[in-house]
Amino acid sequence: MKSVSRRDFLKTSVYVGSGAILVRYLNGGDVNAEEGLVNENDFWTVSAQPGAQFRQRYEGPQKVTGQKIYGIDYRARDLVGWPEIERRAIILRSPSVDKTFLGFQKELLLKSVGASRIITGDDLAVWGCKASAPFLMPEFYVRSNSAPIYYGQPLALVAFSSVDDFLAAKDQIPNLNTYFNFGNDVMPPDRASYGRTRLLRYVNQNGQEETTFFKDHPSAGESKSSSYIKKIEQDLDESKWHVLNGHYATQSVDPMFMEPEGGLSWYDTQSGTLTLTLSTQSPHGDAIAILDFFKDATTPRIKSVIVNCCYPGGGFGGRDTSDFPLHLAIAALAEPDVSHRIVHTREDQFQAGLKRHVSNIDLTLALDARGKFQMIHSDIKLNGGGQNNYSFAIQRVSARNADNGYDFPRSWVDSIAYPSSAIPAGSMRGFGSLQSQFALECLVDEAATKLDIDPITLRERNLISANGDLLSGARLAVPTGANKVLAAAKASALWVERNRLKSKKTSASTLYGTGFALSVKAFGASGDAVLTGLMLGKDGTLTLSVNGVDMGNGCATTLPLVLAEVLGRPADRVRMGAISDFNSMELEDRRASTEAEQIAFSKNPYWVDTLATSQAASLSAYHYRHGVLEAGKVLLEFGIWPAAVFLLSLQGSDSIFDNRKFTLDQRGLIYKDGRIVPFERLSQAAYQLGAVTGTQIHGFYREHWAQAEFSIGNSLYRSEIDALALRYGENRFSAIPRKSLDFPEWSTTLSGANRLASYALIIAVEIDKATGNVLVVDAEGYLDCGPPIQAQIVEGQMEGAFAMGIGQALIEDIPLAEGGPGQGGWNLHLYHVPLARHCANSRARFHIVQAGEGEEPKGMAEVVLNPVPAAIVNAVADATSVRFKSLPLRAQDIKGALS
Amino acid sequence: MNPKQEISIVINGRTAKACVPTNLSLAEFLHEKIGLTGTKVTCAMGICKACTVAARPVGVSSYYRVQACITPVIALNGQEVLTVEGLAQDGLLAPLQHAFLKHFSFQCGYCTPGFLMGATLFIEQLKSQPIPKADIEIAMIESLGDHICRCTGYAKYYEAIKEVALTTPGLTY
Repeated sequence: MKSVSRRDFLKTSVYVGSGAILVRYLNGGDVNAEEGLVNENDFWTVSAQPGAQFRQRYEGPQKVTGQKIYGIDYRARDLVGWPEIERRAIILRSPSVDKTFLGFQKELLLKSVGASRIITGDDLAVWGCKASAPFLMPEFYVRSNSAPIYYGQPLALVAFSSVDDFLAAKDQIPNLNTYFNFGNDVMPPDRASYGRTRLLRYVNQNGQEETTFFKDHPSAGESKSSSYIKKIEQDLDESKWHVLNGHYATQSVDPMFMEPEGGLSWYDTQSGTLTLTLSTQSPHGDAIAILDFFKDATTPRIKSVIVNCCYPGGGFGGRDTSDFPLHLAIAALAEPDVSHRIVHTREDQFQAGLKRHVSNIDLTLALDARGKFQMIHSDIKLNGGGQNNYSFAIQRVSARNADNGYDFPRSWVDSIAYPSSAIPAGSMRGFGSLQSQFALECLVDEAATKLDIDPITLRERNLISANGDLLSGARLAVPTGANKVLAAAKASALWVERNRLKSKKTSASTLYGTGFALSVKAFGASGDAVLTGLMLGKDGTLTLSVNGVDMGNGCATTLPLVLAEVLGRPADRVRMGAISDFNSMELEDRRASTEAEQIAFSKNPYWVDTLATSQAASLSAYHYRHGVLEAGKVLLEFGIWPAAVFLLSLQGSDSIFDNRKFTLDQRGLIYKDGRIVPFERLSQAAYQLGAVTGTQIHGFYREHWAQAEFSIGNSLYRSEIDALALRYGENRFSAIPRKSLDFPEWSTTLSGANRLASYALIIAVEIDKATGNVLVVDAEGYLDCGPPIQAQIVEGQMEGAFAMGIGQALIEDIPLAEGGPGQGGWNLHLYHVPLARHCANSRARFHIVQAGEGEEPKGMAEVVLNPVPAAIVNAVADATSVRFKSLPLRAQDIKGALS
Repeated sequence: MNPKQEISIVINGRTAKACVPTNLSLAEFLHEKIGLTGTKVTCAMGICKACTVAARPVGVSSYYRVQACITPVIALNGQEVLTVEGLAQDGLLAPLQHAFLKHFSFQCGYCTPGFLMGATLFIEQLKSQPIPKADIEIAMIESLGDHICRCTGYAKYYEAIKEVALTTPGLTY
């Protein structure tokens, strides 16, 4: 979703050697044995049929038996080698903004709750700690006599000697606000915008593209676009087009992942190692931020950071570059050689957790009498809250997806993310595209009504062609599939019968309406890096390592399954978040800022643009899958095949690798003459021969996959990877220097993603006329995600996004200022989320449209969320003839409109 | 300082004795004193139901629902408590656990222990009070409708629970 990482901002200020950060999967060897554990693989079985799917999730047995799996589950005593003494800490945050913070009554505060230590912003200043923009405020905790600039800004960390002390104090903790004070009002500082984007595309009347602003003027200012803006405005003035306008607004919501942020930390004085155990979407970035924060500090020097990755209990973007890991580090450095644990309460999570950006969007749509779109002008304003936590990228993604897969001859999209005193907004599911697509899908629906065209037909007339250019300047790599999902939706009974159903279900007390919305959404950021490792065990087992983590989106299940496409059987084990498994690749990551710089960097045979992209659910199906396939191919050609040649005594041309000579399935390798070699024997032979027994690859996608050549034995191996390490026999992994590199041109950094998935959604609602309450009563969704790797996991994403979208449209709302969660005290009594009864549970149906021959899976975690709010709003418009343009829809507003 | 009280509770078949503060919740007791972290806490105010466990006085056959996050552990003194860790017996999963796996009911899985325990109580209720098959959807919503899940949209949880309810003899007619 974002092509710039935290490291890009810090690389000049902090040295990160390959050994300084260890991000790894917390596995059985790290955990003290528990009695009665159920072995994860006892229940993990795969059907023998070709193309079969798993019967259950990889980590499912652990989750249904209550085993320790989430960051919040672990205590120091559970972890091998950790100090048994476990401190407990809480974080105090500011309930006020723009007032002078007068500091703490430290002794009284500590005494009141029996706490042992308080670490304030003044302490951090004495230590010499400093955080780096844009993700964090330089003074991470507000110093006395300065003013917090956003609600929930951290003030201090309060530590308790033991969990018993903490539990004894728990009822008094909410009252700690009485031990710090604020003084006079101060003027909020002027702060620059977090980022702005202008996307402009102009196609003349002959169908020739005259400009795509980003493509033609990658480094130009706005002035160069003004001539085309004038042309667009002139065309509009001179035309007889239908022109529709609207101001749309969406609210702040909380990801409300179920597991609050929590974890453990420990700084070991002897080794200089800081170790964290937690659930995070950005382990590598978290470690970099910690090293950066303490780099000039007088605290003991951090020589290395180990991040033990646990399964997150939900994420939705809210654990991507959260500031939480830094609090853990502060606790550990304040008192080395003991364990520390911090766990957010839900109130803490509401006060501190990253939120979705509030949006205000002015949108203009022009279309001709035939219903052909002629022009879109979208002016998107996103409220980023107190910190620039990916807002710079989110506003850009919001703009890039504002065309929603439609073909506009004239596109003019401006976006900006701006600072405010609100709780920081971050990379929540949708990444800015939910907001811009909500606005467009509402206005398109209004246009259909105005022109008396079926709403789905209107959309069909305006889809971008299969290899068309997006307004971002990117050319589609594969068809969006929007035509398929629209056709399927148009034929569904819920759509075909909508007028009859409306007549039938509308009564004196109830209104009924049907709404439709489409989302065509890019997956990946076009700048996505994957790390994949594959180990062949002596017993024939296959262990996969990947840099991503499974937030519930299912990649711990789907990625092992992908391996069957190459090796005929899935991986037996998967290690998630295992970035440091790949240290032996000796990668040197550095982002170029020009084509010339990129060429210079690429002369280093171990250079990569990006080490590893932080976890986004929409990266799994396409990008991570690619890594698994590539790792499998290398192992097959240079490990399994040589073993087969040896065991089958193949000679001459028969011994040359050619995958038409054999097939693979659960039984092993089946040679063309029918002989079968089981995996166990293949692996034993591979070890005996000293053939390849482990592969590690790095892949990079930006418009297309980087390709490179490597010398492996006597072969020159070329594939869609840009770095490789191999393990021969029982040796260690060693990096293979790249012989040549075909890398995406630097200019593609500007044009954005070029692979899009499509989702069409019909929703039916009933409205209680007396109260204005809206209830979703039926739904039918159609998704083009290519061939699903594991269909139930795709369905689960659709169902879950449906619920989350209902929350966005009808239920959830975060006040940004006074009375909001930034002042503390918010929990589920104030913040309501959808329950089963809100989700048309027994009626909603979700379909995956048939993939075409040769199509590959598409990332789809975000596209299935985006159309839900617009479909609901359009259904309400169908029922009431009133077009609401702000979320959430409030019952009193609907009631007022009806009266 | 909160006063303390001696308690004796049977947790998943094992007796636990302790002297605990009177304001210590059952969830805190399970997590911090017993080391059982399968029971999850999301809101700590009894709303989300992630912390659902089953309890019954010793010698009584039927369980009742307990929200472990808001129930003082001293209130369970002398009772039996069943948590998600106690559902599988001798390494064999309970039918609901199997059904949740088969239907891919959960994603992040953090709310799963609460759903499992809520569904266990629902099935227990059906054993003593069978219902018509046609009423199963309404009955599930009445029993489990307050459980919050953020990932799934609930559909596959209900599919799994429905399957167990309809295929276990004697629960529906």
